[in-house]
Amino acid sequence: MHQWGIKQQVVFLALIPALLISLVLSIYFSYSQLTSISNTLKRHGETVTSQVALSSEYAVFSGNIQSLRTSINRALENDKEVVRITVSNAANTVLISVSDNPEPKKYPAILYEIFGSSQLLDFSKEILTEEVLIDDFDDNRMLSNTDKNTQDKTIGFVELSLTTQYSNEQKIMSLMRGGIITLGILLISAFIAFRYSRKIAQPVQDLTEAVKDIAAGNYDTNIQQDAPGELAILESCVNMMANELLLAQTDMESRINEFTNELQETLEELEIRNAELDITRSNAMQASKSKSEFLANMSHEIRTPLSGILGFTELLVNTELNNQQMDYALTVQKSANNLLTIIDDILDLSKIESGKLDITPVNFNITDIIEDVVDLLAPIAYEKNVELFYHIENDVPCTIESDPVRIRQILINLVGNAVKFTEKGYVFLHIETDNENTEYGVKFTVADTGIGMDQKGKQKLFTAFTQADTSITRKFGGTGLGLVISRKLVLLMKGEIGFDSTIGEGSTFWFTIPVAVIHDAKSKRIPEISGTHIALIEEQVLCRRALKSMLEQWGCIVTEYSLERCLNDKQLSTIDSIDALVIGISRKELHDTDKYFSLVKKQTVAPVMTLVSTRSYTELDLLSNKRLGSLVFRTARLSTIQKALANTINSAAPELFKPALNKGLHDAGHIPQLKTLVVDDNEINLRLAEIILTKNGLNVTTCLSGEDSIELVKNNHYDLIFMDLHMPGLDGYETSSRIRELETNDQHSVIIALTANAMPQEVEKIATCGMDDMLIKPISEQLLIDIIKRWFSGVTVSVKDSTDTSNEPESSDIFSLDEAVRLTNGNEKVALELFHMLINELPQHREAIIQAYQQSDRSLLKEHTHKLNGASRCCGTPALRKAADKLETIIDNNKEEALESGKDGLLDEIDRLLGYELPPNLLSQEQP
Amino acid sequence: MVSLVIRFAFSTPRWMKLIVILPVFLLSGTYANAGQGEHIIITISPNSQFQLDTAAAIRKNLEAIDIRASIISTENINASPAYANTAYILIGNAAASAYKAHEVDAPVLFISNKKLQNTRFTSAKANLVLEQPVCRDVPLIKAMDQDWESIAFLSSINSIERASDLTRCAIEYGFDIQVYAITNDTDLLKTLEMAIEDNDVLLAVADPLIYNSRTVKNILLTSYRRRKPVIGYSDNFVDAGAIAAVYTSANSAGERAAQIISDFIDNNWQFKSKVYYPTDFSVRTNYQVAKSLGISLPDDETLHNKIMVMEHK
Repeated sequence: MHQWGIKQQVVFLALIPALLISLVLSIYFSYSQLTSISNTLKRHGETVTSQVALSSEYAVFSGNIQSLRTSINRALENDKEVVRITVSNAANTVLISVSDNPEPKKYPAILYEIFGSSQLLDFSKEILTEEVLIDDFDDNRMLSNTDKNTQDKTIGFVELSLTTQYSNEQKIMSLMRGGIITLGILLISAFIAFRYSRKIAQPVQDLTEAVKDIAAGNYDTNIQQDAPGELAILESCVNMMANELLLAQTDMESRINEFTNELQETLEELEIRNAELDITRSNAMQASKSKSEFLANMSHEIRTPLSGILGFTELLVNTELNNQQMDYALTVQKSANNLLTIIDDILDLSKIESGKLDITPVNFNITDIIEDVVDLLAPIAYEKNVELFYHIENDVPCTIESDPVRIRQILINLVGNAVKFTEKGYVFLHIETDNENTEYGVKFTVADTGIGMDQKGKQKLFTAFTQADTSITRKFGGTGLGLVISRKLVLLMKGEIGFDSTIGEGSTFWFTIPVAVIHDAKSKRIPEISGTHIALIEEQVLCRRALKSMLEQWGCIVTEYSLERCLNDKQLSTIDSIDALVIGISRKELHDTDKYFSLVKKQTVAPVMTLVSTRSYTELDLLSNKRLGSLVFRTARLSTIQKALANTINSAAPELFKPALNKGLHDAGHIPQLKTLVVDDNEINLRLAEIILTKNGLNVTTCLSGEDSIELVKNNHYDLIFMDLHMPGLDGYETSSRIRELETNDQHSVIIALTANAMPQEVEKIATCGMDDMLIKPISEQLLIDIIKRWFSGVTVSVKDSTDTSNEPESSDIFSLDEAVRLTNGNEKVALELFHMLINELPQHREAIIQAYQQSDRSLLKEHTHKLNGASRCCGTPALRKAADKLETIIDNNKEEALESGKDGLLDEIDRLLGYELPPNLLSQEQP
Repeated sequence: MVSLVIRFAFSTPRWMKLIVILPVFLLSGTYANAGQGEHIIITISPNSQFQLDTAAAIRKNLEAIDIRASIISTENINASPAYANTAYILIGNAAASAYKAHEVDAPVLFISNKKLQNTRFTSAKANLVLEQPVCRDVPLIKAMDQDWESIAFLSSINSIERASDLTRCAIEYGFDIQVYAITNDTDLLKTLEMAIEDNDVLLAVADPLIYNSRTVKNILLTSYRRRKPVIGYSDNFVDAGAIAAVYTSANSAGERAAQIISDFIDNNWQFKSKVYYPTDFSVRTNYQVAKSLGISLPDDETLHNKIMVMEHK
C-alpha cells in the first residue's frame, strides 16, 4: 500500500469506506428488513388470529357455524398468507377448519430454504367472551368475579396457520433489492472514485512531469492551471518557482559571465604576475644561490688563506722567537682567530636565517662538553685573573641525546662573553636538570661578576650586530652575533634562553634545552677514594662548594676548613685522621702561596693535592717547590683530578698532573705510518698540511689538482687522502668519485674532504661522492691528528697479506709514557720501574736472540722473541713490541726469507730502546 | 343543656341554625378540627367511578349545607377519624361489607343499586336504592315514539317481581309484553333469539343472571343482528349498546343522599324512612345504535320530560 500512487490511494480511500458502509448498512438493513418481515408476519398472524377470535366470539357463542364459516372464508380470502383456520369450542371440539393453498412460489425452492425449512407459522388464540360493564355499581362485578377463573371466559379456540412463503418472498426480494442497491452504490462509488482519482492524480502527474522538466533545467516549463483547489495553488506555485528559477538562472548566468570576464582578466593579471614572480623568484633563487655561492666561495676564499695564516702562525709560535717576534706572532694569531670567529658567526647566522642549519641529535656525555669549553676558555680567563669553574649537579644524566656541537657553541659563546666582559671575580658555569616543563631538560647557567648591563642594554641584547653599549665594541670588541646565534640555536633545539643582569655587578645567562636521557645520572663514586676523609681548604666560596660537591660525589667525606683558622688556630694539626688535604688556589692567591706552604709544612703530614687556577705549566712548575703536594690544573679533566687524588691518597710522591694536550700521533697509540696524499689547489694549505702530517710521522705526498691526484692514485695506493673540495677543473667531488672507480676491493683509501663550510647539502654530496669524512678549514694539527686517530687507531695489517709486513708502517714510538701508565693503571712510578727493568733485561734478550738465530734454533729464537714481546707489552714500548710481534709471526709462518730482516728489525729496536733517554722530569723518578 | 341543644337542633329553622352555628364554625377554625359538629364519612369502593362521582356529589351537596363530609375507601374505614357526631354513607356492597366487618357503630345510610337484603334497617340505618322503578322503562319506550308494540322481557328468579310490575305497566301503556323465564338450564341464546324474534324491543333489568358483563355483548349482538333494540337500565348499558335507559345519575344520587342526610340530621339523627328512592331520574340514549338500527330518537331531555308527563298523568 505504501507503494501505491495517488490514484490508487484515492480509489482505495473512496471505495473502501463506501464498501464498508454499504456492506454494513446493507447487512444491517437487510437483517432489519428480514426481522421486520418475520415480525410482521408474526404480528399479522397474531392479529388475524385475534380478529378471527373476536369475530368468532358470537358465532361460537351462538353456535352459528355458517356465520363462522363465512367470517373464516372472508379472512382466508382477504389474507393470502392465511392458509388454515380452525375454530374449536371450549371443549376443544373443532367447530370448523378451513384451509387454503398459497400461490405458486416465485423463486427457486432453495432460496426459501435460506430462511428455514418451516413453511407455516401457527398461531392460536382463545375465544373469550368480552366482559362489558353494564352496571354502574361495579363492585358487583368485583364481588361476583373474584373467584372466577379464565376457563369460564374462554368459549373456544382459534388456530391459524400462516404460510411463510410470501414473507420469504418478501425477504428474498428485500435481499435482492438490498444487494442490487449495494452493488449499485459500490459501482457508483467506484465510478466516482476512479473518475475523481483520475481528476486528482492527473494534475499531480502533470505537476510531477513539470517538476522533472524544471529539475532537468527547463525553467521555462509552464503548467496549465486547470486543477481545482489546492492543486491549482500548487500549480501556480510551481509556475512561480519555475519563473523564479529561470530568472535566477538568467541572473546567475549573467553574473557568471561577468565573473568569468573578471576572472579572465584576473587570470591574465595573475599570469603576468606569475611570470613576474617567476622572474623574481628565479632572480631571488639566483640571488640566494649567488648568496650561498658567495658565502660558500667567500667562506672558502676567506677560510683558505685564513687557514694558512692560522696554521703557519701556530707553527711560528712553536718556533724559537724573541719576545717581540713572539708578541707579534701571538697578535697575528689572535687576530686571525678573531677573524675566523667572526666569519663562523656570520656563516652560522646566515645558515640559521636561511633555514639550512640542522640540529643533529647524537648521544654524548655532558661532562665532555663542559670540560672542552672550560679547557678552551680557561686560559683566556686566567690571563685576566678571572676565576673560571663549573659544577655539574649529581642528578644530571651521564649521557643525553642532543646536538653537542651546538650546545658547545652556545656555551663557548656564553662563557666566552662572560669571560670577555668580566674584569675581576669569576665566571661560574652551573649545570642542573630542569623538570619544570613536561619534557626532561638540562639547564645551563653562566654567572659572572662582570660589568653587567643597564635596562637599555638589556633591550638591545639578542639583536644582531648590536651590543649592549657601543662603547663595549670599542673596548671589548665583538660583532654582537654570538648571543643572536645562541638564542636561535636554543630555539631551534626547542629550548629557552634568558638572562638577568645588574650593571656593575654582573650577569647571569641561562638556557634550557629538552633532552632525551640515554644514561641516567649514576653514582660517580670512585672506589679508590670512596670513604676517604678529605680536608678541603678553598677561599673562594663558590669554588669551595663546587669542589666539596665534586669530592662528595666521588664518595669522599669532606670537611671544609678556613685558611685563616688553620693558620691562626692550627686547626689541621688537631685532626688525627685525614687521608688527604685538598687545597684550592685561586688566581689572586697564586702569587701568595707561602701561607699554604706554611700550612702544609707545619700542620699536617697527610698527602696534599692542590688545584691551581692556571693553565700555565710555568706557574705550575713554580708551585712544585712549595711542597703543595700533587699539583693539578683546576680546570683539568675530572679523570685527571680523580687520578691525581687517588695517587695523592695512595702514594707519597707528589707529582704534576698535566692534561694531555695536543697529543701528537706518536702519543696516540698504535698509529701506523700512513701513506698520505693531500690534494689542494692552495700551495700554502698544501704546505701546511704537509708539514703537520710529516711532523706526525705520515708519509705525505701533495698535488695541486684533482687530475694530478688521479694520476698519482693510478700508480700508487694511498691509505689516506685529504681532498680539497673547491678546486679549479676537477673539483674534489668528482676527483673522489673517480678515485673510487679506480679502487679495487682490497685497496680502499680513506678520503677526507677539506672544506671551508659544512652546508648540509655539501655533507650529503660528500657522502654521495664516496668520501669518508670531512674536515672544516682552517685545519689545525689537532684536528688532523684527531681525524687520523679516528680512522686509523688500532689498525694492524692490511687484509691483502697479513704476512707481508714490507709495507706495514713501523711504529716509531720507542717509549710511550701514557701507554705505560695506562698499562700500570695510572701508576707512573710503577710504569717507570717496569721500563727500567726492561732496559736492564734488554742486553740479555739481545744476546739470546742473536745466539738463537745463529744456531738456527727456531724454537729458542721464538721463545726469546716471545718473552721479549710479552715484556714490551707491559712497558709502553710499542716499537719494540711491534718488531717482536713481527719476528714472532715470521717464525710461526716459517718465512725463512723474512727471518733475517725480522731479526734485524728487532735488534734495531732493542738498540733504539737501549739508547733512549727519558725526559728530565721522569729521570728523577728513576729507581736508584 | 342537652335538651336545649336537641331542641335547638331539631326545632329551630335552618336559617336560625346557620346564624347560630356558623359563627361557631367560623370561630372554631377549619373543618379538620375533629370532634366539633357533624361529620359524614362517605365510604366507597375505590374501583367504582360511579361511586366516586356519587360521593363527590354527596359531599358537595352536604358541604353546601355546611355539613362536613369526607370520602374514604373501604380499606380505610377502620382508620376513619372518630368524630363526635358521625354518620356514614356507604355506597355499594363493598362499603356495606366493610362497615359490617369493622362493626362501626354509627348511623349509616346505605346507597345501593338494589334494595339491600339481609340488612335490618333502623332509624340509624337506612337504604337509598338508586334503581329506577322498572315501570319507568315503559314510558321510556313509549316516549321514543316508535312502532313498537311488544316488549320482550327475560326474567330469572332475581327479577321475577319486576316482571309482574312490568307486565302491569306495559299493559297500562298499551304494550304487549312477553316474559321469558331464564334458569340455569335455559339456553340463553336461544331464548333470547326467540324473544327478539317475537317482539319489538327487549327490555333489560338489573338481573345479573341474565344481563352480566359476559352475556350482554352477545345479547346485544343477537338483538342487533335481528335489528331489535335493547332498553337498558344504566348509563353503562347504554354505552354498551342499549338504545336507551332510565337511570339514576351520580349527581341525582348525591343530591338525594345529601337530602336524606340533611333530613336525618334535622330529624335528630334519625332516618325518617328505612328505604329511600331517588326523586329524580336521568334518561340516556345511544344515538349511534339508534342510527344503526334506523331509529330516530328525540333527545334525552325531551324523553325525560315526556316520561315526567306520562308519569304524572
